[in-house]
Amino acid sequence: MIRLIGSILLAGGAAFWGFYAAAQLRRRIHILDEIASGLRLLEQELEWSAPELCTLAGRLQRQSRGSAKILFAAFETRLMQGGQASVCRCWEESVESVRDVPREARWCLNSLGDVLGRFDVQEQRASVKSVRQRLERLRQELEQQYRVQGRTCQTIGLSGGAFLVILLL
Amino acid sequence: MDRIKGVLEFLPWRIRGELERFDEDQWEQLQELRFRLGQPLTALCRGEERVVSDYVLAAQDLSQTLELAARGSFHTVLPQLRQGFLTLPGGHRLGVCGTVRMREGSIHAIDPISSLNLRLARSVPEAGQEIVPRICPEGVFRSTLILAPPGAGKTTLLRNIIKGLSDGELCHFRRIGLVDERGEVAALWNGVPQLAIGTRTDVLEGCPKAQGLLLLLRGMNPQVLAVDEITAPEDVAAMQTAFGCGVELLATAHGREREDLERRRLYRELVAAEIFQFLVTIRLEGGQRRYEVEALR
Repeated sequence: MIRLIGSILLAGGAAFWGFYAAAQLRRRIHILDEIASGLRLLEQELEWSAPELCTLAGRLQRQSRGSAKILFAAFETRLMQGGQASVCRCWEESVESVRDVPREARWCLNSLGDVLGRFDVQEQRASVKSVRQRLERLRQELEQQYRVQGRTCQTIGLSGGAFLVILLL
Repeated sequence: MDRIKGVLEFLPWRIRGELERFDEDQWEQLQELRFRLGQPLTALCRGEERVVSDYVLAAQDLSQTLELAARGSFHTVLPQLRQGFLTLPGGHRLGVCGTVRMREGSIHAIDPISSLNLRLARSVPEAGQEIVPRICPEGVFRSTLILAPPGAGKTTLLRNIIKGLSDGELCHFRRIGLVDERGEVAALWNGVPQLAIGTRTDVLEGCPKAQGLLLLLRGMNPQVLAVDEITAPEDVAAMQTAFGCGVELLATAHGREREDLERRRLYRELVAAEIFQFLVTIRLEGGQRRYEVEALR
């Protein structure tokens, strides 16, 4: 009986690990989606009104969702705190506060810190657009990775669990 | 004094620390703070520039000062920066110098920055108040031209007359339309005048004078149109149009005395058009300003 319960737990654990790893991959794609949408909104706002960064961040955090909302809310808070921190530092800290962003995407986003608020609207828009397009390419790469690795993780989880059950029983 | 000390908000901690050592007298005398890359911070007090501290300014101090002044949003202040300065809350001005980058014939950016000049705005509300009744016969303002050399206080006098007319001090109040092309008269910051220009004054900032006068005339129904420094024939033409519509005018021009109006062709046209009823000249005598009013027609 104990052996049976142990086997079920092992099989369940292995399957959970497989599905969890696949879900993590999926989540990263979702995060990139949300941030890319947020950057698209940023481009639009820069095109239409281009207010001060603090106002801009406030608007964007109200309009966006998920990780983009977290990013812009953190940026607005840091800018509103004022003090001596540069815009670049505020932006980098805000990017840092968003969890599970792939490393390359984080690096891409950080590069915007040197641009936001420092150049004219056209140059800022061009930089935001380029970062967004890079994130969209990363998203496509992750999507392909998910198609291969996601299924692999699920299969390994399920078959690994089944293998352990057979071995133990 | 709190308004003057408000400039500390726009300075990096390192520089702020140096200025916080100033006593009330020093703040009272302070006119300008000058930041030059690789040089110590200096202050202009009563016309004399002196070193404030031994701390040598680095590029980061200058860029951080500018970033704090622009609230991290250069794109919102670029039109001002292209004119070489930035208006701060309180009406103070941050002048910028450095390497100018041109694009399509106009200034695109100033980068890197080599020096900054923080000019502290001080209002002198009493300056020229005594002339208001003289340019308002029977309490009603009549078109007036202020003539003085640079630095004599034309803009201050213009601002004080605008405030006097707008608030109805010493005369019947008037609705004023002010074309403040360089932002020196009202010093708008987020739409709010940082210097006193009265309650019935509408300001059009950053707009060329000739266009601004006609815009105000069409849109704001002013009783008096005010403009600082007439410099171009189109300004004179716009003033003639406005005057033809029954609006009184208040303007300033460069010159020392009435004869200067005859010497310069632009001003000759202005006098010939008989727009202005009064001429106010400012003379500096022994450090004091003297205002003289004479009739032009």
